[in-house]
Amino acid sequence: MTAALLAPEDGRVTDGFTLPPRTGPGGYSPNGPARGGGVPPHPEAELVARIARGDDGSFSDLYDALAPRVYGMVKRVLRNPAQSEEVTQEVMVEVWRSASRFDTSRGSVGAWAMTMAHRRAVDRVRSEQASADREQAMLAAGTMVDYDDVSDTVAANMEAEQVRHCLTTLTELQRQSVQMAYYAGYTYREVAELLNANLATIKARMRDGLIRLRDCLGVAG
Amino acid sequence: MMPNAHVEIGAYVLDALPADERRGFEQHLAGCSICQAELPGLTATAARLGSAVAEQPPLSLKPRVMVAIGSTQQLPPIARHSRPGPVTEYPPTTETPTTQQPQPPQAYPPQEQPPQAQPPQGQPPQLPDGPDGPEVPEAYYDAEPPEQTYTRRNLLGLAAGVLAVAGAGAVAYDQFSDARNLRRERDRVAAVLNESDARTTRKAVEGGGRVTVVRSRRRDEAVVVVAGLPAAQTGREYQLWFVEAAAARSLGLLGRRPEDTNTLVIAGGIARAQAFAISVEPTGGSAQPTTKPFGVLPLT
Repeated sequence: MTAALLAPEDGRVTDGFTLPPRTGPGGYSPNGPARGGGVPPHPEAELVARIARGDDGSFSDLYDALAPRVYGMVKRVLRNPAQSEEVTQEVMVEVWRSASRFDTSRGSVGAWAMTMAHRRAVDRVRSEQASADREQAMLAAGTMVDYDDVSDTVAANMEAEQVRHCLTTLTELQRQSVQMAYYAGYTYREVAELLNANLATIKARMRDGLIRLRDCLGVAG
Repeated sequence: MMPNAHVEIGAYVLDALPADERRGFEQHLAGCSICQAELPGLTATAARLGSAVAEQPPLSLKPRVMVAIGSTQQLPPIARHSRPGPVTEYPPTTETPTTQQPQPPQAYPPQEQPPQAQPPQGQPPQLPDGPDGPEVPEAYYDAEPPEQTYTRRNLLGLAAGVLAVAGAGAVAYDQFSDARNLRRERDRVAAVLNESDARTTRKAVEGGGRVTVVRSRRRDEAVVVVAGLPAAQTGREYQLWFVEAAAARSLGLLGRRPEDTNTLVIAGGIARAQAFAISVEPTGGSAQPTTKPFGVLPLT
């Protein structure tokens, strides 16, 4: 049988989040500035196309590229290494399972995987962890980027440095709102309560904080 | 002053909306072009926050993941569709069924045959009153192709992309994947059409489009052509079904691109099928219809 014959539909819906709708030309490219239409496929998108046909060698390569990002982020949210491994495995298996549904016009492979991973991590932290743990996670989120963090590649250190720098360009309330939500999994209501701010204000700060980060990081979109 | 719904996009991207509010925002998103335009950039930005804290997982994790995928079924590619106009690799409609088109072999790694799937365990199909049928943007009607008669030759000409269901399982083909399989499927289409007991039923779909089913009880197979449905809303896809006694059996999903308006499906197990139907489902499809099916074409 050829690679084209894939396993039957197993009836499960793909992971519940909604993929971002497709963009126009020039979507986010982590390797450089946005370009116009006719962009050659990013290498990771090419891997996903092969994975969709059952190529586990390509999956192995994609695992190497994605797992540190997924694991590191999930561990920052969950704090528990064993649970973080479980969630990382779930995400990578979902990448395998739903590779055929990845649409490169909707964003990068990294963004796709990290979006799935963050949703799962946050859902898990809300359902399992006591608020005391989460408060600890929130404090940790305040010192999010340490120069001493174990990061095995220069690229990862540069990534951390760039994000750290761009976070300093946010207002205090923008930065805290974004960090508490992203790294500790608080809802905007919880953030509003912890920061003694108004619900609409926190929603607005989350949005304009992300926009400012986006522009500082040079993310297209 | 920013309307309330738009401003939630930040919390949404950060997963800071509670579940019910998340669903509410997704409904807003489906109809909001401003938010749709903003979403990819903010999603990518959030992903960068995660990348900044990357950390190598324990080495023992990877082998466990590789084992896990070995027993994980993959979702088949979404049905690829015929496109009006020339398709470079596959013969146009004037081609006769038995013509073989030489194709260079595709360089795929050899794959093991996946295990035969079990059909989804059935509950009676839920047919609740769901949201209204698909939106029909006005511009679509202007672009609608003229009425086609599905002669046998036309149906074969549409076999540029095929979603095939054999027995209990669903098998799907990427349009540009192994050409040998495409030829085999074209032969299957021809076989159904050439059966002496082949019967054709056509129906206009409420809201736009047409369904044609050509079935042969002798072969226990049917060729289903869905054409001209208006594009589904963002976050939604059309899913095709055979309704059986105990449950609905999925035949696959229509694609989401604007040009994906026709689908050819070869479906087996026609004896059990009471009707063909289409439903609107969330992206990725559902195990059973979650909205009221439409385009119902009785098969008994």
